[in-house]
Amino acid sequence: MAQIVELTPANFATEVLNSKIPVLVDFWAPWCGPCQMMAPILENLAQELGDKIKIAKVNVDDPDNQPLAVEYQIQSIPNMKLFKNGEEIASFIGVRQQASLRQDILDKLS
Amino acid sequence: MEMGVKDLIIVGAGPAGLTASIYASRYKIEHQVIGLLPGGAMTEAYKICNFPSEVSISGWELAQKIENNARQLGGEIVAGEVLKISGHYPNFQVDLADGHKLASKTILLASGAKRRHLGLPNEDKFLGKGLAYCATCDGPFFKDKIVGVVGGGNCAATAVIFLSTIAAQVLWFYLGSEPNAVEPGWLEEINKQGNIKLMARSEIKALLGDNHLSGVTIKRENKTENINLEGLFVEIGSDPNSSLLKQLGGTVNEGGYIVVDGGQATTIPGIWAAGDVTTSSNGLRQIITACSEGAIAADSIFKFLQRQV
Ligand SMILES: Cc1cc2nc3c(=O)[nH]c(=O)nc-3n(C[C@H](O)[C@H](O)[C@H](O)COP(=O)(O)OP(=O)(O)OC[C@H]3O[C@@H](n4cnc5c(N)ncnc54)[C@H](O)[C@@H]3O)c2cc1C
Repeated sequence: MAQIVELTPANFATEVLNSKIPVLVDFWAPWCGPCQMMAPILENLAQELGDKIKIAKVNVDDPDNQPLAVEYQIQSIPNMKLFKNGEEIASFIGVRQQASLRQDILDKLS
Repeated sequence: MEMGVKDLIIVGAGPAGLTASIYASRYKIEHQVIGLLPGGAMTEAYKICNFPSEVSISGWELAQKIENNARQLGGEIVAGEVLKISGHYPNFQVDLADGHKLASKTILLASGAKRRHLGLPNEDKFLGKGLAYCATCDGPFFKDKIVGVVGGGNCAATAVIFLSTIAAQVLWFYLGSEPNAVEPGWLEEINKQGNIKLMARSEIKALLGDNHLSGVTIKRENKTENINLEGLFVEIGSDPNSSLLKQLGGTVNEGGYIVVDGGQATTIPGIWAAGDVTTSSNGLRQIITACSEGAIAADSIFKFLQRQV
């Protein structure tokens, strides 16, 4: 069962930039209702996509994670960025349905 | 996948749909709620002070409470989008975006309304780069910055109040000479804050900036001027999600709101509607009226189904 990885500046490079498989990084915060709605959708997606893709998240409310929010210029959440071979190849802003997000991810990776 | 025929399918899991589910569970109506976002529009509300029993609660929290209530009573709430409804009583077919097809005797449309965009050519480009539609979600990223809010209603007013606690300055742009669609309670709070500037009679004509929003062009009393700001929050109202009924030939008013009778029935037999998507409650589109309409609709559907057996 694929687990959602909690990201911090300490593990971002290992888990995302140097990952062998593509990574979807969800920038979220506890104050954001729509982000809370994305949580179960991303959990389902992690199960569904299994080994094809890693799903990870950054809590931008955590002061320790500020450098990541600044580096990736997060100003609107939920914001899900897709990384492949260490590069950001797509960004999805706002609540998304599981089926359409999965399709968009697979389209970007194909 | 074809499932058994339900008594009722509720489209939308906002307060109208969830309250209808609460009543439907109590009436033992076999039903399912299909909703894009559990909780609906209020999940974006910073603070709700006009829902009885809650002095002040965040929209997200209130949404959770209503959803929990519906689930505890046995309501089946499923995340999904309804693309099409076809057929007629007692054989409606509901097509979901994920390909599933459901069958139901009756339908309740509680699909709410969707936020209006400004309609400016480069609006999409600035989304997430200074332009935002959810102040509670994105406001905290604008700490000590100058931001604007567009719109003259209650949602705009609450966004202005919330942002004034975070940003250096909030410019509030609205078309009229007064924000007269706003509850006096909110205006009182706005007047207490020292960092809110009222920009009456202002229309946003253009969004400025290269990679990030850096300002807006406004038209004010026949003069255009550029104003620097780093964030702009759009709160200019919403349009009803009534296309599912329109496809079936049901009646909507000139604004697209579904016309219903006192029991929330639409002009299509077997289909009811409740909440922000309807013409009910004298046009007062709030959580309490959405709940009320959801309750009335469930009651009407219960009586209707009883009459049919
Ligand atoms: C920022 C903000 C602040 C507010 N503050 C207050 C306040 O303080 N007090 C108050 O009383 N009200 C407030 N409101 C208004 C209140 O949220 C609405 O009146 C209420 O949510 C309407 O409920 P509803 O169930 O009719 O529709 P909604 O809450 O809009 O719910 C409808 C749901 O149906 C879903 N849906 C639509 N089409 C489909 C489809 N085809 N398939 C599946 N699902 C679909 C939508 O995604 C949505 O989740 C506020 C609204 C906003 C945006």
